[in-house]
Amino acid sequence: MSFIKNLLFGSYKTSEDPTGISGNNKDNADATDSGDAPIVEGIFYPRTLSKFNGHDNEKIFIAVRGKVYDCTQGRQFYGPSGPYSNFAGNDASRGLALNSFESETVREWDKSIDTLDDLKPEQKESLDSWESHFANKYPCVGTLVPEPGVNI
Amino acid sequence: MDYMYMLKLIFTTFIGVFGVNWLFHKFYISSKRDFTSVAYNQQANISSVRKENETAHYRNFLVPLGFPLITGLSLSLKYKIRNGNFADVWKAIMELAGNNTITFKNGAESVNLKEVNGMASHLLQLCDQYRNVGIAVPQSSLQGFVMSIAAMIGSVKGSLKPHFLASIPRQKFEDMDVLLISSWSAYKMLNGSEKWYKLVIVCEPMKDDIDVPDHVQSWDSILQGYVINASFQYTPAEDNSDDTKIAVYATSSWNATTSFTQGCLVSGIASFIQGFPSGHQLTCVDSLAVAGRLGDVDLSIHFWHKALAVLLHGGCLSFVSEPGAELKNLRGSTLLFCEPKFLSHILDEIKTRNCSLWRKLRFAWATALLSEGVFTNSGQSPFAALDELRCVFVAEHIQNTQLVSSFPERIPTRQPSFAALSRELLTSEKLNSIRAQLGSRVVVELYCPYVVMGPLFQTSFYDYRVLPSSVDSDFLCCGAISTNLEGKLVKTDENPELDVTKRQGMLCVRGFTIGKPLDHDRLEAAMKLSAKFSGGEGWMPMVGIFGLWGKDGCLYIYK
Repeated sequence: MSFIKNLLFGSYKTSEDPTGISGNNKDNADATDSGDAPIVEGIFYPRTLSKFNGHDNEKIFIAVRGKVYDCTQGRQFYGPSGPYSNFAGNDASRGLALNSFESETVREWDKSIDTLDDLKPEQKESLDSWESHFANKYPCVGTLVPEPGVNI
Repeated sequence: MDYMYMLKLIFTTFIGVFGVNWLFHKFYISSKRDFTSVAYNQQANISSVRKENETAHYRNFLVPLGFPLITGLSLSLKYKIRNGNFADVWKAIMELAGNNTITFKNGAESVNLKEVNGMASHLLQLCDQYRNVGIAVPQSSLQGFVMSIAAMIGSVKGSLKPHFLASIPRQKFEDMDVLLISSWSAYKMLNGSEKWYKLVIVCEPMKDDIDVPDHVQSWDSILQGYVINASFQYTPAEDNSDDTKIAVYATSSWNATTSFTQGCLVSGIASFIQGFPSGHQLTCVDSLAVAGRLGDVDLSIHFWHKALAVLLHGGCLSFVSEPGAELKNLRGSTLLFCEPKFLSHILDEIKTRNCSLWRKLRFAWATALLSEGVFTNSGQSPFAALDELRCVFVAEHIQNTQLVSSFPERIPTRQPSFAALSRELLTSEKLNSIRAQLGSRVVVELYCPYVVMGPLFQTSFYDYRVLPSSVDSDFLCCGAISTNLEGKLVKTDENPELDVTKRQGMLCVRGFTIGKPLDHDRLEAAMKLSAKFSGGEGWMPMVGIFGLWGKDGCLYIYK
């Protein structure tokens, strides 16, 4: 009846409150409750990073040479059942250097962080190229550091 | 028996009305709606990450994250892409120039573009050896417009540059060789400062009783011998150096000078063109009316994007005066660029002339449909001047521009009734009523003169929402950020009640239409302020503008 009522009484259909501040809800409380709330840039341990694999958490984070990138928009590649899903929530540096997407190139979160010391010059070059690709395409959300007592 | 009959009648009527309403909603409104609720709620692209004391970065929905903002006209130069500059724009305008005209405030007749080009070319030849030209007359006048065109061509091809002045300078500008003033009475008030310039041009005809030195000339005498010219030639430099030159200087009434590059100009033009949705793009039949103060000296920096974009499509341009705001001035205009005050004048004129029941019913039909997201011009007032009008751009200005453009180190505290905007604020309910009465879309734009060339934010072409009264009373909905800018809100120590986790804070922007302060002190202050809030990543804090990002991606500024 809303349209006919508006027509007869000259009133309007009012939209939802986009600010979230109307009425008694002065705190705009649901702004932070949403799963879409942006993540604060920060420090990740391999353990905390591993949750962002597109499955346990909707977001997909991948570490390359110590920097963590938000690759959620590349879900078709890095998400569950994607061709590169092994990289999601992990340090993908070795896999990218070797151009290998096998699970052996990715370390478990409770192992030490890969120092990449044994990479050959051409593998380092390949990693440089991938690193620049990630930096240009995806937002950097933080850095990957070893967790005391777990990775050190 | 009678009771039963009445009961059945009421029940049947109720079911009938309910059914009609349901069917109307289901099949008519849903199919005619311009914007779905999903589109309303996704007017911005929001970064997935934010820094600790700031909100996420917001971009217009048309500019995806990871892609560049709108930088220019994307012209090709061999295998490269160029942003373009004013000469590219003017060349394209002159290639399309046919019968399209410009109507100035101080002229009864329209002037053909070929004539404007002829005058501008003549002026450029005379002034080619000079540097900046101070323009202290409205660009809505023939003289101000033609001199601006000549100087903007010079800014690419030579050393001449336009310098828009809010008033006649009280102190000498080192690079200013030419001054354009309105009248001989203004000339008399120069008090000897005419010696600062190599050429002073007075827009009035020469008077016999005034004795002037050789370098002071009237507009008529300086234009003697000009010829109508339909062609304009320009070959861009291969190193793109023309695209990075200064396009225009603007000095405010509080003597703050800001420079805007060719990039500010072309990215604004591209952004304006892109803002029209599919099916409503600019065409050669469009005619833009620039109303009131927006063509005058202190605010004229903002109409250039729109004017040049319309001319680029072969359209016409007219400047209309504020006093009276007669509807007949808008006859034939398809686009109107005005301030809220001008719109109020028009509405007052419409209201005094029609109040029949039939009109009221049509108006109620239109407003009810608009609030459902369906555009209709069935409520349009019966004035021939409004028949062609399809979109009105309402310019809201940050009132305390002086504070923003001074880049103060100390951030002011937000007061509960801090009015950063003009007093003629339009609520969403009033805007809906205006849409119905004009039979036209209405886009609200937020401007910050002398800091950013062009709008900071604008509401969507299709946004007809009526917001809850609690939102209208506390906020101004500014819409999504322009496609050539990106924005964020930052935490300030002076306003701890604004919580960035709840998307509240002070506005910072970065992008391609932001000007650069010319004075050393202001530039230093701007760099310090930028470093304080964003670590020097090119963000420009807009001091005193506090707001919050809505769930729809639009900015809502506290009134």
